[in-house]
Amino acid sequence: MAVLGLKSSWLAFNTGIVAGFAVAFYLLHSAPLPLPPKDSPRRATLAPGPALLGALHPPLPGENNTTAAELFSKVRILCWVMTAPQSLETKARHVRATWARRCNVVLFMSSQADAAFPAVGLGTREGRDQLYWKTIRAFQHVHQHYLAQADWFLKADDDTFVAVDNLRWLLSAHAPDRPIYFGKRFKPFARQGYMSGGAGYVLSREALRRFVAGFQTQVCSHTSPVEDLALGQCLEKMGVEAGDSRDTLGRETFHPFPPESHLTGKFSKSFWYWNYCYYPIVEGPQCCSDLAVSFHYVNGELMYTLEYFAHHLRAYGYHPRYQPPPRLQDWDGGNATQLAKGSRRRHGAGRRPASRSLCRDLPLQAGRTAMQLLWTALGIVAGFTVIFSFLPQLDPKVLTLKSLPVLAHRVIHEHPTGESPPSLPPRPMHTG
Amino acid sequence: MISESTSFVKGVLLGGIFCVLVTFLGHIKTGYWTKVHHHEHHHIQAPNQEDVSNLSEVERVELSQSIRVYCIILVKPKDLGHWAAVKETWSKHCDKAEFYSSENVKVFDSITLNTDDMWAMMRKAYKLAYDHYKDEYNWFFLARPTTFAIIENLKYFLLKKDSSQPFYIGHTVKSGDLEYVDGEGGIVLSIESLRRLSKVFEDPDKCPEQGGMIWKLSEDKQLAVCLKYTGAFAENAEDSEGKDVFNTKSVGSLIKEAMSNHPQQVVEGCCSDMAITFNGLAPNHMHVMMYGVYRLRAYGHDFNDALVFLPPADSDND
Repeated sequence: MAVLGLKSSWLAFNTGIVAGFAVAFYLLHSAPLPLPPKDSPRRATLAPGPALLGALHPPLPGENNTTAAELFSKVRILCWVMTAPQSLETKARHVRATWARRCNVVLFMSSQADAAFPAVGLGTREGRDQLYWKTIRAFQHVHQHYLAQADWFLKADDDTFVAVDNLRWLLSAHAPDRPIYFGKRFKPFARQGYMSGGAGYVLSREALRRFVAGFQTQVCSHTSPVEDLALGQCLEKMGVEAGDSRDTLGRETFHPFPPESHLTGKFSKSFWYWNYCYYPIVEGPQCCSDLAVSFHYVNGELMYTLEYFAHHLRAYGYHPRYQPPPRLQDWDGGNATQLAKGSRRRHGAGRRPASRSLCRDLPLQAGRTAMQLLWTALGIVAGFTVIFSFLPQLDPKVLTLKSLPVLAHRVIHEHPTGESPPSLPPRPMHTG
Repeated sequence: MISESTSFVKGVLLGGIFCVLVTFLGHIKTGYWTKVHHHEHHHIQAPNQEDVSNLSEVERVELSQSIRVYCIILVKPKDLGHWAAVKETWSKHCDKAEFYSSENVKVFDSITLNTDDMWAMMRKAYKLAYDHYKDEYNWFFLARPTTFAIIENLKYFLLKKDSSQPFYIGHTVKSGDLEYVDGEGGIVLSIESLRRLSKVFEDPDKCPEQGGMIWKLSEDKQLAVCLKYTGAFAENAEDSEGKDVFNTKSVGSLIKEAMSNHPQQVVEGCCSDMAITFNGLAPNHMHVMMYGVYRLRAYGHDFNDALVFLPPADSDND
């Protein structure tokens, strides 16, 4: 059977070359090529909804992070970040790239859903007057879907920096089934005070239950758009205690301004701040705990700078003045251990739900497969080029094991057409 | 039919072999893509964790005390704000820090040099430092008032380096044939380099006081020229990952650059965890850096370091 006027065996032979080339190429390159370090975000996505799972970061050289690892599994924190569609790529992305990764679960709350970021759509409008609506909806969403996945529930803004490991240290002294919440405590307008929204606040599981229950029973309602005050007043009504978040030396951990303002700024005496702080204000180096939990009004550059300071840059061998005592044994861990086991059973995941296998880089995998297909296609094209330029006339019947050396010799030394090279001119005949 | 299938099989084998050949040739040629930019200067590296983890407690204390750093900060009256910040912050961590001023200032103690030419100031400061302290310190660190230095990281870097060798270390720059340490990032000299420098100061041909021939060289280049005559060459300092530890820019500038150059790996690609210097800091930023370096940290991460440094007395910001 002649196809396109070509000999069938020749066609089979050349098809075989192409097929062999392609298969070999794919097999060789299915092991990942040493690709250049890709600039793709390390993300993991897991149902339900657009939550990102945090992970314990691999230790730096010479670092022992056993204590941090223990706290990661025993003091589980769900972080939700108040953001907006127009701020996702300008502000929230810096949070996602830095401290958000250290929460056990992190959710970005916006008025509209965004599957790519990912962000949860709360179904509200945008604007300062919507803040309390967003907060209510966000906590209801968290309560509905994630109650068993965490012990503590943190709210932060997209310009808040949070040192999540320090928050775990602070919270490890308290049982999550206690109705309590922590933050930067302000004193006016509420008997027990309330927590500053910008500096971030964190509710225990029981506090979250009571907040949601308050709205179900209509003890609480949307009283004003001032989110932090309104929330504080609702929690007070529901019997949730406003906790003292200061460290063991009485220094503040949640901060409503950036570090420079607290460390070097001199607030004028008429500034509202003086009248708002529940505890005495300290200016200068003692303003802030070594184990600070949050700072506010942090732009992108400062977000990465604080990440660098808190988790990377250090003075080698330095023994700091403040040696924080461990607080984990301060409370009865019985209840918490049981709850933790319960959630493990339900999810069937390992001790650390955010294991590295889940942190597979989905965009990176897709990229790698595309690269492999591209190589295979190139291989096929190369194969065709080789066949049609160098071996056009090779007769497959001639190709046997015995004939290989001869053929090789011919291919190397002769014309591609298989003809012998032009013969040498005959020796001139000498006469006489 | 049989001949066709045989032909096909032969074709597959030939194609496969050809592919394998091409792949191996390709790997040899293209190699691995790396980010290393090619310097031509000398590199000097920080010790690895393995070098230091086998020391006993006694050895660690001895080691920490054997590295003694004397800090020279060259100041002028216009730098008063930075001068105050340096005095209140990082200079407290030097074994001894002294301010060498162009002229006397009432507010602060200083060693008056009575000149405001930077090269002349540098010469005099080094000469005085050598004459007075050659037996007490083995490393000499010179900085500007806009520099922030982490002396503990400097000592770690110098851990395995013999100060009786001529070391001249910092952030190096190549200018034509001359490789010099950029003064903006801080200059580190071993006692041996300082000894040789003191000697060559007396030679006006190799190391003139007026600095430079026809045109004036900057003082850091001038220093490199003088040291070169003595056999001390500039070396660029890097950590175990190849990142510079002496920086001529501030953390903020480096972070900003990282945000535009590699936005997905800002902190990882920016600065060394064991950075020694940053420059271009405003006085307020020095206080923030003090907090960021010595105090702010993430709980639960412990380090088994080979050196032991305690906080200085009479200080509350570290």
